[in-house]
Amino acid sequence: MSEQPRRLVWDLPVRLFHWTLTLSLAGSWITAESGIEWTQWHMYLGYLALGLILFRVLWGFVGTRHARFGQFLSSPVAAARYAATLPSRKATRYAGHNPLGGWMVVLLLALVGVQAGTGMFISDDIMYAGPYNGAVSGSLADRLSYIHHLNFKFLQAAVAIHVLAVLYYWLRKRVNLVGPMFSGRKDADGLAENDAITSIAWVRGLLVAAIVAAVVTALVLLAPPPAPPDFF
Amino acid sequence: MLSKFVCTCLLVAVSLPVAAQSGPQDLEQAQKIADARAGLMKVVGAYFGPIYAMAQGYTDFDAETAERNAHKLRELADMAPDMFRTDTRKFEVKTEALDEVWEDYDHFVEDAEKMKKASAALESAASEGKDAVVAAFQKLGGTCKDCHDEYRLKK
Repeated sequence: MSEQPRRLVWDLPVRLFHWTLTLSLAGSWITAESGIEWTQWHMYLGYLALGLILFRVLWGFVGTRHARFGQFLSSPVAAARYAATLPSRKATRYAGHNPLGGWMVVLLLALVGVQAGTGMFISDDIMYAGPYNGAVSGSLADRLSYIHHLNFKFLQAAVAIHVLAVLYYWLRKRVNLVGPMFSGRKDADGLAENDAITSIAWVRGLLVAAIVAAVVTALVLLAPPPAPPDFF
Repeated sequence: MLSKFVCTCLLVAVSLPVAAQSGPQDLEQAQKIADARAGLMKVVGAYFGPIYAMAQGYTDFDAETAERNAHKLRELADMAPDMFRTDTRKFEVKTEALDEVWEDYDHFVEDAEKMKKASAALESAASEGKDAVVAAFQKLGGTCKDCHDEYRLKK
């Protein structure tokens, strides 16, 4: 088998973000369903997810080329035009996200952001509470809890569409999107030479990750102390 | 013969909840039943709170309170199958109880039994000190969550 020329398109932070988020979502789901002894871990994984979302939003401005919102967000018209080509076996090659994939990134970031964000304010009405549960009224916490449960269904649906789309590209269009999310490299075929990025950007990534980790840690640790329980 | 009459009356009164299994006749009646079972859950919270407070360090550990409240929680767990038995699904009552309660009521009763066992374990752990109470309390909380996940409206 001859060595196919390949081009680096996904920097290291994008790839690490992707798979860490995958693990944190799977872990959050499992720990939510596995009994109360896992609730504390559910909360830790939620902080991780919140940090990952903050990281990815920042990285959408300061990351490498194909990681940037400005690069992969297209107009609704362009997205619709691209959607019309979906049934075809032929795949238009994109160095980064295709126009629909770009919007899926935004959707997933928003859904996970809402999920992690609402989690900070709600309680299980038994013995665990997010760090900001005491900062909101009981009725607001109830409403946010409702959103947390409802939004999870939307998140499940979005993840299902995401995974099915990747499978569709693999089976029908013969495009492997999973491999590049590990290696960072796509087959050069159909890509221009200057589509490649020049660095995996791990130093910059580490810097942004450190800032985000500090912010999330501070958010959790500096939260106002929870209100004492109703009955003493 | 009077005593026999009284006995019969008592028997009827005692068996009323069973006889009334045909269910509530109107919304108002159904709402009263729903309020009563919601009230039971609130009382559970009232006895749960002080143990939570000491487990979290809001208050000093007090074995006597832990034991007493655990005992009450066991009694309340015993009431749950009575209070939830009446099926109110036919009426538009304000309730957080899901239809699942009555879809497999035996399972609901089993879950209430778990709360009862966990409360009893907490009661006997009270004399063994705070660590034992915290561990047993965590287990009791687990029975709350398992039941809520299945039978309580996700608000």
